Amino acid sequence: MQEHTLQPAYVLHVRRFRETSLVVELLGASQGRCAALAKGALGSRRAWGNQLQPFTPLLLAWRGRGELPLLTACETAAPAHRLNDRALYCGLYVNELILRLCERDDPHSGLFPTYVGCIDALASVSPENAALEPVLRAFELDLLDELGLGMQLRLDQDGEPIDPGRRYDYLPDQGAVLLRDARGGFSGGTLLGLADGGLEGPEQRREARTLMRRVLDVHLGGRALKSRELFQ
Amino acid sequence: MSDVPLLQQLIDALRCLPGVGPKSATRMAFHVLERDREGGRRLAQVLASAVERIGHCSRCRTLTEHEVCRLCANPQRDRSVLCVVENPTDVMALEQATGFSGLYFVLGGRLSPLDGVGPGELGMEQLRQRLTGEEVKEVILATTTTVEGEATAHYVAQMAGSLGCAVTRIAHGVPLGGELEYVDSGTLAHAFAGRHRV
Ligand SMILES: [Zn+2]
Repeated sequence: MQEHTLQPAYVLHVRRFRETSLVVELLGASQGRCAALAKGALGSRRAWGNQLQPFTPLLLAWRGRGELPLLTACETAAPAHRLNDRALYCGLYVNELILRLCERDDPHSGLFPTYVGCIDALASVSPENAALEPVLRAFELDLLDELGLGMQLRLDQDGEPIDPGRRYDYLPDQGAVLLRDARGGFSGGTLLGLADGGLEGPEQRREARTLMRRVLDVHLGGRALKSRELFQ
Repeated sequence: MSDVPLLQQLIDALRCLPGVGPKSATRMAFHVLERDREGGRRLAQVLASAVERIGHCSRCRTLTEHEVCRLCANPQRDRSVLCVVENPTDVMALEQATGFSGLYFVLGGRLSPLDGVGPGELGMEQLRQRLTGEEVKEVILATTTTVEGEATAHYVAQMAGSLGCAVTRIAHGVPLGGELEYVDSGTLAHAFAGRHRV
């Protein structure tokens, strides 16, 4: 990695390294997911420890190549988003998703604005499931798109438009499959609501959550997301 | 292992202490051997029995060599107030700095899903039982102000609230004697949001 001027970035996760340093997992506007070493961030010389927190818009510069470039400057670009209550769990979930699904140093240029939009939304909606879940679903879909794993939610496996009144199974590798039976699977309305960002009512939200979980689990390779435990 | 000279083994062993690199470890080893063998002998004995005998309090999970720690066993402490902290060192700090007379519960960390720490790793179930089964009326949250500390506070607050306990949280803001100019913006924002009538 070349020497960078100050660039917009968010901290996804911070891990103690030795006595006073931090390994910082980042989402950079132009670098995508990357990591940097904040040397002495917890020492007296540089009090970056307080600033290097998730959900705070930062301006960062780093220097050096290889696995772990050195953070050389850190400024807060705007006040941290206040994620309250369940919105905070959602924020941690989103960060875990990125860390688990994105490789380091793949630029994923669309991811940063999507992430910023998601965190903005989590901070501004009321921290209840009815408001938070659609924000998470939209982020999950955008993330999959960004990774080239996008879902087809408007057409079924045979290329026929999804009928909101019928029910479908959804196979992560094949897409929506029309069910003969009027039971089981997911309603066409849920699939279209998910695609349009217009989920309606608790039933559609529940179905959408189940569907996305099933699809994400395939891409996560069977290792569960720890942040899901917070929601129980 | 036996091929490594004892002196080197000692230096390597000392490096398990926080902040001790190869240089300090060498200095410590030479100090003990050249100037203070008696102190070294005492350290070895105390360390061995401490590691062997100190465990966690069965009620609050702080460090103790007894089944129940000195604080939990003290009948003078107010059993209706429970202060939830992350680590045994927090208990010590609060005991020294405040006149708190209630009891503690030590989580042993904070919720940090990205480090693999969820509710199950933190004894949340034991805390739930404690809040269900006993006369706790108020829960004081004294977790750190990092994102993980906030998530932990929220998790405990939800649990305690659903079990009918009042929940309070220690205030955080500008340090005493601190000039506003030098306080980081996050802390300042927090302090500003938490202002109170004077
Ligand atoms: Zn105890």
